[in-house]
Amino acid sequence: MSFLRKKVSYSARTRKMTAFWPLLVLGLALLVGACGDATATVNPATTSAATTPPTATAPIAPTTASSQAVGSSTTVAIAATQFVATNTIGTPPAATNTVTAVPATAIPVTTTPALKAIVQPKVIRTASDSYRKTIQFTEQPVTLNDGIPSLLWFDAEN
Amino acid sequence: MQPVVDGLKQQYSSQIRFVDLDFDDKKNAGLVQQLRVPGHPTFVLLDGQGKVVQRWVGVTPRDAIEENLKRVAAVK
Repeated sequence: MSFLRKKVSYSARTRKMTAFWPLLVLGLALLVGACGDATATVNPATTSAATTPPTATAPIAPTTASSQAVGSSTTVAIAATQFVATNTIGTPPAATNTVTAVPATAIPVTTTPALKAIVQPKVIRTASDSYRKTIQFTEQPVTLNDGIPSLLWFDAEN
Repeated sequence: MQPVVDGLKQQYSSQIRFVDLDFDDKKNAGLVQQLRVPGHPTFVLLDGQGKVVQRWVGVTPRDAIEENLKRVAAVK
C-alpha cells in the first residue's frame, strides 16, 4: 500500500510536473511576446522622434524670419539716413538745422589807431657851431599813418 | 647827423615826411616806447601805414638811410 500510495503520489506529482512545463513555456512565450510588443512600441516612438527634428527646426525658422525682419528694418533705417544725408528727400532733422544755424556775430574790425608824434621846438647846433638856432616847429600832432612815409629822427637837444 | 638829415630833406621832402623829435622830451615818451627807440640818435623809417620799415641806432651813414628812402618812396 505504501508502495501504491507512493506510486500514486508519484503519479500525481508527475502529472503536476507535466502540467507545469506547458505553463512555463506559455509564460515565457507571453513574456517574450510582451518584450516584443515593448520593442514594437519603442520603434514607433523612435520613428516619431526621428520625425521630430523637422518639427524642431520649424520653430527656428520663425526666429530666422524675425531676424531677417530686423535686418530689413535696419536696412531701411540706413537708407533713410542716407537720404537725409544727401538731402534728397525729407526735411533735415532738427539737430542738423541747429548745427547749420550760424549765429549772427559781428566780425570785429581791427582798426589801426592813428600813430601820432608831437613835433616840438627843438634847439639844434648848426654845422659851424657858432650859435644856437631854434627851428620854429609848431607843437602839433602829426599823423604818421596817413599814407605818407615818414622818417623819424630821435635825437637829444644839443 | 644834422648835415645828413638836411641833405636828405632837400632831396626827398616832397615824397617823405621828416620829423625831428626830442628824445628826452616826456611828450615823446609814448612814441619812444611804442617804436622801441633805445637811445639817440635813432632813425625810424615808417611806411604810409605807420609800420616800421627800418631803424638805425647810432651814427648812420647817409647812404644807408637814402637807400631805404628810395625804396619807400618808390612803393608809394
